Amino acid sequence: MPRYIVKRLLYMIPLLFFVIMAVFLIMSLLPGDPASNILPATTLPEVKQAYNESVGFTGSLPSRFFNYLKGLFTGKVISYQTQKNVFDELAVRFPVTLKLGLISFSLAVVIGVALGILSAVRQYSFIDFAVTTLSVLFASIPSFFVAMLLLLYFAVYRGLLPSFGLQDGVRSYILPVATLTISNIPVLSRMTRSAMLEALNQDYIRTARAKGCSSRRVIWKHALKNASLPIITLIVTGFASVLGGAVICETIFTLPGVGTYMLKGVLTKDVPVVMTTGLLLAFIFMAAMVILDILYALIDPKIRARYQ
Amino acid sequence: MRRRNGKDIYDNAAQGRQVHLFREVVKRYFHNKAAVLGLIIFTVVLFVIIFANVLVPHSLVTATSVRQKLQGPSALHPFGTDDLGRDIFARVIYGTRVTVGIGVGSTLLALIVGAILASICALNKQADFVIMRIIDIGNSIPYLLLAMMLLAILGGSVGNMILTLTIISIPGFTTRIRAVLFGVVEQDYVKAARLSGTPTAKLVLRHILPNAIDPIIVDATMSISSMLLSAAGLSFIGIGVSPPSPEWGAMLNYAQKTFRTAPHTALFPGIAIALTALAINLIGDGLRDALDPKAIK
Repeated sequence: MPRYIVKRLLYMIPLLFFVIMAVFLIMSLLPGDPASNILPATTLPEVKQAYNESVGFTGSLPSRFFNYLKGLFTGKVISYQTQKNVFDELAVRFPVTLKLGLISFSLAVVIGVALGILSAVRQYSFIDFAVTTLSVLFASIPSFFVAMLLLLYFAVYRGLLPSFGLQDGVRSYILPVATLTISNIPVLSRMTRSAMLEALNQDYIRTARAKGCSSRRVIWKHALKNASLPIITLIVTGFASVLGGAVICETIFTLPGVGTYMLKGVLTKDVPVVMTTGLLLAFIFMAAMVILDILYALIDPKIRARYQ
Repeated sequence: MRRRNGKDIYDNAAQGRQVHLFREVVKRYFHNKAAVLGLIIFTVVLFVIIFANVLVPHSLVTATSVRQKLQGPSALHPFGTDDLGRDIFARVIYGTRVTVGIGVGSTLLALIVGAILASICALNKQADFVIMRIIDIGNSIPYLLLAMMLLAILGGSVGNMILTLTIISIPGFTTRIRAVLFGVVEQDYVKAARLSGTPTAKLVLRHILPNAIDPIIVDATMSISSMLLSAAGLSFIGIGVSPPSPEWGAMLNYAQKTFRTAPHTALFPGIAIALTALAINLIGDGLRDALDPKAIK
């Protein structure tokens, strides 16, 4: 088992390298150089060249790549727009996104998984009908539309909550958190329900019931344990993509998070900002995958046996 | 008379069974009320796509009128007007072509590329190793970020949006189709066909894909709605289809500055997105249940 974990972690190194390279190559497809993209068209060529040098845009493609790699490891990547260090900005913005993602996703997991279990255990009941109907309905409403409706009611009509920024402390987080929670519950409850139903229809459940297990024990011990793999997969990958997907929520509530930073980078062709932010989130995503693989091996003896 | 040939009888029987299975699936699909509702909504959507120019003249999509700006719904403008006085009804109607077109187009393209890559993976171990490592890289980048980067380079237009959504969903499609194909390739009839020297193209198109098609169809249907929502989301944050186009997400992006005082500017495009995605999700759920082999008698 420890050997497997080490192996899995080692695989992350080449993968990370290739991800950095892929992101770099994609972004190098962007036509033009930083000076012509950012400075006005009438700027003198000498000024442009000096600007390019000041932001580290010199030399051939491979040498720029290694310069960027060096910058990543020494924590010094310069933005084309502001000429400031991207890491300083990320250090301020990442906690906002992390807080938003962590709170909303934890809420969504608790509510979504509970609803999923409830509707699977009471299949064909009114609760099941309500949960499945609402799940498919809310899975179809885009998160930004949910955000606009919440804003309209709670901020504009009722005036209860602030509609943008972070000036009001905790109260500023309520609507963004609610938006992300609401849009993440359906997918979690649907997946939990189908995984639980699949487990509840197995022969070993009938056996457990027949030998006189209490129904609480059957549900929590026998069924949920066997249904946990797909649910955990969704929780881990879902959390990583909530951080990446927070950009939509951050945009509508104008929160100073990582998503809006990256979006600003995309709109102003600020390549170092886009790349570094993208890589930070890709790294979290990859780390989540590794954790997931290790969890698989811990939970499922069948998978564990393969690595021994 | 043709029945005298033994092979014909066998063929007819096989065909008869296929027809029976197909009827069974259709019957079970139409027993599912939610699935039928999805089909009805989607039929209306298709009707709107085909007959948009019969319903409202195309010129209304971009026709501005300062005197009629931000009007609520009325007989003249069923969904009201935006702050340039454009008719929101006309824009939502023509937006159907753009938004649904992007969803369906990118799903079909990603499906074709994914199926080809997955077939190569299923037939050749070395190619499988190389393709899967490349897909590992693709899977490590959150899809929304990849989409943002690609759109930053390509620029926002309908074509680039389809291309971007296709690229970001190829890894997922390939992985999922590959998993299905690996199960089929292990079957005895595929091994027999391979040993008897069936050409690769025929092997894939005749023996492998048809036997793996059910989960792929369900997957593709579900994917249309997630593509549609992604497309609208990207346009909403301002890097997808650019504003003058009546794409639903772009309309909502534009409505951001007016919806606090004139909610109808956001309400109708939002409802259009939600209803279309709902219809496709219901159809996907219905197909999944109807095609479930465990439930077929």
